[in-house]
Amino acid sequence: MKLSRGEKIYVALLHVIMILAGLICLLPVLNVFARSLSSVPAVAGGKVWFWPVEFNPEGWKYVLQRTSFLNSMGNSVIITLLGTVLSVFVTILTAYSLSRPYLKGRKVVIYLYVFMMIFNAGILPNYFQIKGYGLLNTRWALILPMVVSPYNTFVLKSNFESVPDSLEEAARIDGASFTRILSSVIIPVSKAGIATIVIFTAVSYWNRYFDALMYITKQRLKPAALLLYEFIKLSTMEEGMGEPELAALVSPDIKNASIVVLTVIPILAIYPFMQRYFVKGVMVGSVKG
Amino acid sequence: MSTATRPSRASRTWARRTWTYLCGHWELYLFLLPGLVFAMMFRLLPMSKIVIAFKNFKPLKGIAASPWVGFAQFEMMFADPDVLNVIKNTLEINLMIVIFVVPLPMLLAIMLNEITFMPLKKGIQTLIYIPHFFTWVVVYSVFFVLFGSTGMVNTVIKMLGGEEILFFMKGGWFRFLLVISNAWKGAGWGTIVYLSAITAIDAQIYEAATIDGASKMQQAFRITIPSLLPTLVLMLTVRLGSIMSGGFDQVLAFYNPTVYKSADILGTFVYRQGIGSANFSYASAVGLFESVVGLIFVSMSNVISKRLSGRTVW
Repeated sequence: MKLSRGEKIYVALLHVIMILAGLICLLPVLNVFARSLSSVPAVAGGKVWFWPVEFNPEGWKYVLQRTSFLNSMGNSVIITLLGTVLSVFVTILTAYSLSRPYLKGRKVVIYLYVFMMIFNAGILPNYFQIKGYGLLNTRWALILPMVVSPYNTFVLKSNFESVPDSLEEAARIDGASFTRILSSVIIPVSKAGIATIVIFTAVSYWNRYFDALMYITKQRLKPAALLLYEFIKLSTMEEGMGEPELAALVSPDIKNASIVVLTVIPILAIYPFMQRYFVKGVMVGSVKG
Repeated sequence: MSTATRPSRASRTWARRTWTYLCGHWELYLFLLPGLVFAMMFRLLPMSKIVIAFKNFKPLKGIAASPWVGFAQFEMMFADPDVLNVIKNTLEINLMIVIFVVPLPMLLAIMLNEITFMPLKKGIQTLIYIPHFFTWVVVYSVFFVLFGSTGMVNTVIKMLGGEEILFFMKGGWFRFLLVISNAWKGAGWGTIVYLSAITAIDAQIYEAATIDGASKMQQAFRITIPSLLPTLVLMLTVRLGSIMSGGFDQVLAFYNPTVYKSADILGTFVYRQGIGSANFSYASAVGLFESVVGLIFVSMSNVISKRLSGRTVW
């Protein structure tokens, strides 16, 4: 089938726009990357575009050696791992129970979860509750409140509901308990949906900074997102800035760019592994009522 | 013995049936337990602390011993020009995002769908999904580098002979940054839903249109866009539902004191008043206002989306 002249122009235009859209997502990140590895005069003179000019790794060295960046990364990893394991475990159990239409009283629990999804106690009530539990300045303050996710529960519930009933019935007739059905029937056939929940939960734990801003004041407990926030917003990276030989190698611009790049690298490193799952997952997420 | 003092036959069988049911299904109730415990501790019990909004809360006295003041905080709130300005900002910023950002993924998806060279399509998808996975602090940092005084954007402006623009200090430009950074982070990710909706459109409709001589552009406007409208409407109503709370993480990462006038929203105001200035009761009152009005908006948007598309958020 041949395209007319006008159609060719139209299709070409779409290609140009979409390639531009891709570049708009890529180039800013590339620019920050290039600045983080360029020399002080090159950055100050606006000479750096998408590749380092006068290669200079001192910004990276500064962030890695003279700030608590690595420690914060460690905190983020602990919080994300623990939080994801706990949250996904709880979500699977809840979603399975709520997906069984014959479970008496499930409507009450579903309404409760809906209510939690649409009504939040608010910043200060949450703060005083966490304070009341004595969880201020602990990593638990960043983990426990996020364990229950009504949204993820509903996504997984609709996923479990799409498992054919015959599978469960067959296992019931063989005398399997619900625990056994969940672990050997439901979970194995819902791997894609669960993988999606794992990704959503992990990304959400990794990216949160606001609760850390409220609950964590001890430097050694701060997660990476909060450290970045403080470095960039409050310019807290002053360590060693009085030393002239350091200032010649590293400017605030380069330090900022370096910490952004170093924060982003872990996400970019696991992104290809996540991509397989999340496209499928978002479709699971479009819950049908 | 009269039947009144003894459990009736019907209620005894009811009790027995319930007992048998529980014996058969106790695992399912046990599965609900961990979630309910966490929900109780971290979602429901904090709601009891909302009473702070109706008291003159002094941290040293504790919540119980602080005196009740009824709706005094709320009266103060509606007379406070700062709060009225913050409400206005909240609605304006969220509406800007609803109007300029929410429809964007649909357009991107339609264009992306016309790319038939698979490696290019996959490559573009890979790139435009990435920003979704960055925290708002990273997005802010990237934009700060890009739009700062030595950044790429101002370098280009100066190269073209223009004056440096203080994007982060001028209210109008700052809102512009909020809108485009929101699009940068979420528009690519948002295409996924539309792409899956496009695959659901019957291919025969396109074939028939091609035979009838419809151009690709006509097909996009007459077939693809109309088929995607229900999804767009759903997305619009969902986003409108969070008009009170939306944008909090973003604005908190982006704003600074020079743009409070045009960028301070309910959430950030509550945070500064409460945690920053220790006006606990006042901030709680504003926060409660946000939550309650937000609840109304979400419920309304859910009713509307149910009516329009037969789909609900939960």
